[in-house]
Amino acid sequence: MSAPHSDNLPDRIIQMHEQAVREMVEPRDGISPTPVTFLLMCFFFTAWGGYYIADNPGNWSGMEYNEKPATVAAGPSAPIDPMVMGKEVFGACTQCHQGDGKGVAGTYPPLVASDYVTGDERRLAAILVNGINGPFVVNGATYSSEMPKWRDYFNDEEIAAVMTYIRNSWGNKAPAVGKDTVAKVRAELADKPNAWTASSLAEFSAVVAKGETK
Amino acid sequence: MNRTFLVILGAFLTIAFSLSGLVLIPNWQFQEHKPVVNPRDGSQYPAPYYGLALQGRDVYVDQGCAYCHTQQVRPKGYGGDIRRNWGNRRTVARDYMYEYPILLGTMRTGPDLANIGARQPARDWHYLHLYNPQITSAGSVMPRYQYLFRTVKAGELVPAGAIPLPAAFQAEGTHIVPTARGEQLVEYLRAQNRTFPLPEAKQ
Amino acid sequence: MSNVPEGPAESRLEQVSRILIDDSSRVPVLIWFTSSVIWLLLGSLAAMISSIKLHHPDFLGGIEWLTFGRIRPVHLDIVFFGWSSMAAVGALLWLQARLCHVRLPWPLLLSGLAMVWNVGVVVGSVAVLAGHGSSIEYLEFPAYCAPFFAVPALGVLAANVKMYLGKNSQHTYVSQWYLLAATVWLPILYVTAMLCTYFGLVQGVSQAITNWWFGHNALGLWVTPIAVATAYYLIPKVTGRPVHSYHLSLLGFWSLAIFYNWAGTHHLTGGPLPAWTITVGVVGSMMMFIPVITVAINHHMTMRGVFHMLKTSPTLRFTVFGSFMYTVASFQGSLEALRSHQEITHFTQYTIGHAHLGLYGFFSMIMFGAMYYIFPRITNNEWSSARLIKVHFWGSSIGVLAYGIGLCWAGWWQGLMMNDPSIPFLQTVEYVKPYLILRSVSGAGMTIAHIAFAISVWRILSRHHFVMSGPTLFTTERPAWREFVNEQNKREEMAQ
Repeated sequence: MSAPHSDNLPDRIIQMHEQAVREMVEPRDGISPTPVTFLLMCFFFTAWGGYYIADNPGNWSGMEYNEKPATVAAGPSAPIDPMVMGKEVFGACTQCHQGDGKGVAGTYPPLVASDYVTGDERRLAAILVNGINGPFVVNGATYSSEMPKWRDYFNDEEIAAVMTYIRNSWGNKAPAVGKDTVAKVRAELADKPNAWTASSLAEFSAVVAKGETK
Repeated sequence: MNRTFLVILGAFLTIAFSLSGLVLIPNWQFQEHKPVVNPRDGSQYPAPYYGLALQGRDVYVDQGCAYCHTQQVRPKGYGGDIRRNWGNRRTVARDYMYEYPILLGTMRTGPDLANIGARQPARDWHYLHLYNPQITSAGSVMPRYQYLFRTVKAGELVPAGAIPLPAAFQAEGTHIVPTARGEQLVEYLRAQNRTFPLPEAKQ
Repeated sequence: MSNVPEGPAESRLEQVSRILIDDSSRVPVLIWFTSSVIWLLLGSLAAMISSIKLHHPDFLGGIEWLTFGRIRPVHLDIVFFGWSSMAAVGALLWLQARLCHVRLPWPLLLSGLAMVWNVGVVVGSVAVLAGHGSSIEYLEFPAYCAPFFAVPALGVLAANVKMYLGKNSQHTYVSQWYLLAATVWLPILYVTAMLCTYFGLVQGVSQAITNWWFGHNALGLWVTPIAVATAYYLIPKVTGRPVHSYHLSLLGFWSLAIFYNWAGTHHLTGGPLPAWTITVGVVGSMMMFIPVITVAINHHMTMRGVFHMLKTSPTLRFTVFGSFMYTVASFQGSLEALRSHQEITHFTQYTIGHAHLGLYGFFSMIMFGAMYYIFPRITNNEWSSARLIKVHFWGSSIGVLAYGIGLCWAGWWQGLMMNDPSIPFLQTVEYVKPYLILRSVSGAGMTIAHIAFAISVWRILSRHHFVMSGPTLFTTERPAWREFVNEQNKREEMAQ
């Protein structure tokens, strides 16, 4: 260690280390008392922590994902305007059909002035529930892309709302769609999960049309 | 001497405590997770990745997609995830039981991808988007992944697998074909589907 | 007079033993520090590339090695493993030797370990650039890089324990607890996290928890204690005043040890984790108010009455700035952990702003302060130019404040917009763009500061200026406290 011989070091060497010599003393600990306000704050934070854990334990279970058990809604909630809800759901469609519903030439068909949209509501519901693979023809132009099924993604009310929304936007005008219509189509298609093609969809709507005239 | 021992012991105990609390206990709790059988077609959910999608996960990892995209949907009423249609329900631990490595992500420079396969199954859309994001999402700050594609000079002939580039993005007489890695990545993205209704996600 | 420090005079014996101790730590500390400065420059370069790419995605486009998803993790890993950890080890070795009053043991071994660590950062960074990264934040370096960090970490721990056991000081100073605990924590954290991540010890979501248990603790239990220890040493050292309260230090250390390592899960709020794991993370984060306030009180009360010294001393200015940012960033971090706050700011630029206020505004600034203090002592040379230090200080401090405040502001609104589904997602991207440009500008300011710093370091090492004319200070006039020390030294000489 340094101590034993250090007194014998020549002054010259000490001068060469001006940086270390010019320092202040090594740090020392003061003994000021801990402020009482701070101790009160510690107490407050500890109490808050205890309360928060007791309030949000999620039953300490690996299967509880919400900090509080789901609250049961008191009575039926107020009905939501389908145009508002539909616009939100339509967010899922804008990647292809674009926000203005005009689609992209060659790949994604337009929703504006399209008989598929404003025409038979059951055919439209069927497309939304099962999805459809191209090529298919809309207003004389061919579109090649594929559309996903939305049956797992949205419930009847949401699908009905987005149908109402696209049937009444960008100059389209068609009656609103009720969620019962969607529920009925969904039930009919329960055992037909495959995406439509142009021909299978035509077949389906022909059957539907026949059923109605009967 | 005593204090040395105290500090070392204290440091060791605190870290061991949080390791068991945060890592080991949840890991033990997750042991009870079992896949669910889909009554409609007898398939299993969640299922491990296989084939191209499995290889595509490596591409997703090595390109660092996770630094801008998350793969998790927050619960209804907490953030805008569900209302932005990024999922039909929140994601739960069981959704990820086969994920290795897990790619939850912490940043949404781009949208969430937990269900991109359910929302956008079209391969062509993904190819166009990866080749040049401006084609499908003008204004995006996503880089172009042109090295996941190769250019084929084929004149009039359209080679198999050529992506349907709009004329404005296509050089005369050339076609763009995804490489194997491009195809793997798109299959991985198309496999991102966490819509199956798990009971614990219902709360 | 208030600006004359109180306290006992030092004996010549103490000065001489200090010279010998500094002499023993010279080579290893120089290697750890110099390496860290080189990594700081490379980290800044990676940072600038990734930052520009975020608003101009075609910048250096088409080069797969430099794609955003690779250069961004490389930035993070270089600044964490290369800059922060190496600077921390340098400061730790120097401080612990001084505080224990022993010569640094195994200087050659510790120098060699610095080179091993360097090899680890090089190999890891190249691996990530080549596409072998793991996309697990803070743990991107592939598994084969782990020994390059684990072995030196254990070596540093061993040296630290050896110094501690053989210490010649009766009193254990607060910095020493932090330093010892940090060296215990790092190897445990790193080895456990690597084992869990790369060898499948945990599955599914537990991997994500391990990731953030490591990621948050690597900051909270490794670099934070070392920076706090450094500030606890430098502030009383430069001002010559005792630390305000020993009891507060004690309370602060143990509360940090107990609470910080539970905070990690707040990075996963709203994610697929059982509610209770998030709850304990939130409480751990909020309880961090206690250790942070102890440090804030202690440092502030120590500085009280001598704030004018910030005008002259570069070390003190950097360190006090860093210590102040510790309070700011930690308060912000605790509040950020709350579920209602995370609902807005999770997944946004807010987190990035916060991370830089912490790791840069707090940790890096204190390390700069430490280097401005330590380099002259282990090189027996003075800093060549006060102007370069000024460029460094203003570039860094204005840069990090503009960066942090800008991104937190942007992130807050970005989060509110993202939670409102009537706003198309691309509109949130457009909204953030100007702030991303601001980020590049403030990042450029910090990079210029780092270049100024590197020039200073180069000059002090290469003896470009060999000066023996007293310390390089911001103001030219010799401050009153210098006269006081000279007086004391003279008095002592006469007494002998």
